[in-house]
Amino acid sequence: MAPNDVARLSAEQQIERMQALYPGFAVLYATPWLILWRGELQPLGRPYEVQVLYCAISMPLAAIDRFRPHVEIVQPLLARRPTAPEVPIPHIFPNPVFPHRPRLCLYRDAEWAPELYIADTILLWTIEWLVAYECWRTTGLWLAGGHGTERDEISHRERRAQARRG
Amino acid sequence: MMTVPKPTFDDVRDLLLTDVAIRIQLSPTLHRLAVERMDTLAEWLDREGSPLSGCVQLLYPQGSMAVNATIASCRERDEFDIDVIAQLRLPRGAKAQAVLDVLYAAIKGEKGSRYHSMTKRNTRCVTIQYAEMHLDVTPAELVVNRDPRTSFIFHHRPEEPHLPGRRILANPFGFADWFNSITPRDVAYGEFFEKRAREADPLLAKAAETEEVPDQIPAFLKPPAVVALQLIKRNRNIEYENRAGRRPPSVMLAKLIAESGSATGLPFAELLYQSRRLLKTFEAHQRQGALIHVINPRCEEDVFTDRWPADLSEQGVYTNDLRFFVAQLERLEHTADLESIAEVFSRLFGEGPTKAVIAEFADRAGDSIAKGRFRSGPGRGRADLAGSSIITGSAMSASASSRSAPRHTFYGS
Repeated sequence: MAPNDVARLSAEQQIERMQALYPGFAVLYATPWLILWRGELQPLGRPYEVQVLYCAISMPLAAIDRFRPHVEIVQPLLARRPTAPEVPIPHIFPNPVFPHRPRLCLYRDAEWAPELYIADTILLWTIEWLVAYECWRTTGLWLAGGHGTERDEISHRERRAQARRG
Repeated sequence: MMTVPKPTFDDVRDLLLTDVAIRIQLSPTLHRLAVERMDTLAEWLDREGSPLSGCVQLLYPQGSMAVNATIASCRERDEFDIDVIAQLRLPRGAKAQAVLDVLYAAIKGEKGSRYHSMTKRNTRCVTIQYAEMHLDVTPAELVVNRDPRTSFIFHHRPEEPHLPGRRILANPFGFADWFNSITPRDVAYGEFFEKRAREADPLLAKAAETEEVPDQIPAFLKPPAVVALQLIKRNRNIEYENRAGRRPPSVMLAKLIAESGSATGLPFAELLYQSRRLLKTFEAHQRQGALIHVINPRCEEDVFTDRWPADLSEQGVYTNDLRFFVAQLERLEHTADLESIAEVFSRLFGEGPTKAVIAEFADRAGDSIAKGRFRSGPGRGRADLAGSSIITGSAMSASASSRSAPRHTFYGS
């Protein structure tokens, strides 16, 4: 993707690793600077069609940041809880291209880098997100942690305590 | 030597069905208490001065207690019916009314004695009412030269003292023995169920601090068919809660389920299989205009359907219940998200136990993800519920192919 950066994994490497771990994810489009995958994940009892876009260039109008994987749930569409339609779905950000397919907020900036395999990070985080989403749809509680949640605060406290213990 | 991996029961429908069954059943602590109460009652009936002193040959469980399928009798209160047979030595030709009256007097005892204010005489039994359960004690007289423990039980309505009542041939012991021998055991699922039932019973852990609690409670090593029976009975209790008249008898359901055989080894598939079989049986009877007739396989005079259904209309009501039950389960047969499972289980088994098991699942899953312990498999990313510490059970361990994710933080609003 970026010939001048040896640490960064190439499109071929990303595709190969994805193929090995999630062979159901088909490459819909691939160039040295863009990969588009689509495949099915079923962490619990329901399958979700998931799209992953990884791009070496930024496309501001589409809210695509360079070297940032973007994940959308294609089917079934994500939805607010019918009993609390005023409460937004947690941990998503808008998708200006397909507004009904918000993108998943899976990580803080520093937690992902192009040296990492998408199949070893983004896919695993997507699976976790889907489990948390099903639980949230059912209970109204996002219990899987994350920025601004009670469990995030707990994990920060734990991390601080661990750091103090040395 | 190749080792066969233990099944992990990590289908979310199986897990949640198991947990619902555990929440509606008699807990291990209450099971122990019921057994203790039966022992105490046996001593009490035989006490000096009791009208039945020296006449009690045996006291043993019957009905759901004997096949380990006891569940709460209604949705609102966790009250359990414990059915007990008191095998008595009686004078030749003892009349039904006299037998039931003497058992009532023997249990009730004198004013101020232990059961005096808790005892009620019914048509076929005497009930002892406790806070969380009641013991229905049915007097019986052994019949010689028949299958073991074939007995006469007695029928007399206390509100009609002028009517003579009658003796009825029955063999509840034989039925329980037949049921337990014909229902296939699934060792792996039985151990899984038993362990989860113990874990869900905080009083048992507390008791273990001060007294000896066995490592394994045999009554809770349940086959999937028994779990299916419990859940089908639970649904019947809910459907009939606000209906007048009799409900389909538990013993009839037990017989029909046992003779269908355990098909699957897993509770969801078993429940769907058993409920489809029941529906098929009832629909066939409705089509033919015939009332279902179910007898005790160990005593053909013991007719389980002698008081229900009274007519085709009564039978039709339950047939419709079964049709709805199967249709709801079929919604979850191929794909099922947590929300649909919660909706269907709430409707079929009650909102209380369903909400509790879903909340517990969501909490454990969330905790596992937040703490970086969540594991999923390759391919379709199936959650490894055991490896993620979302479920625990006998010999549950992480699948060799599953893996956890690097630490991350869900971001965004």
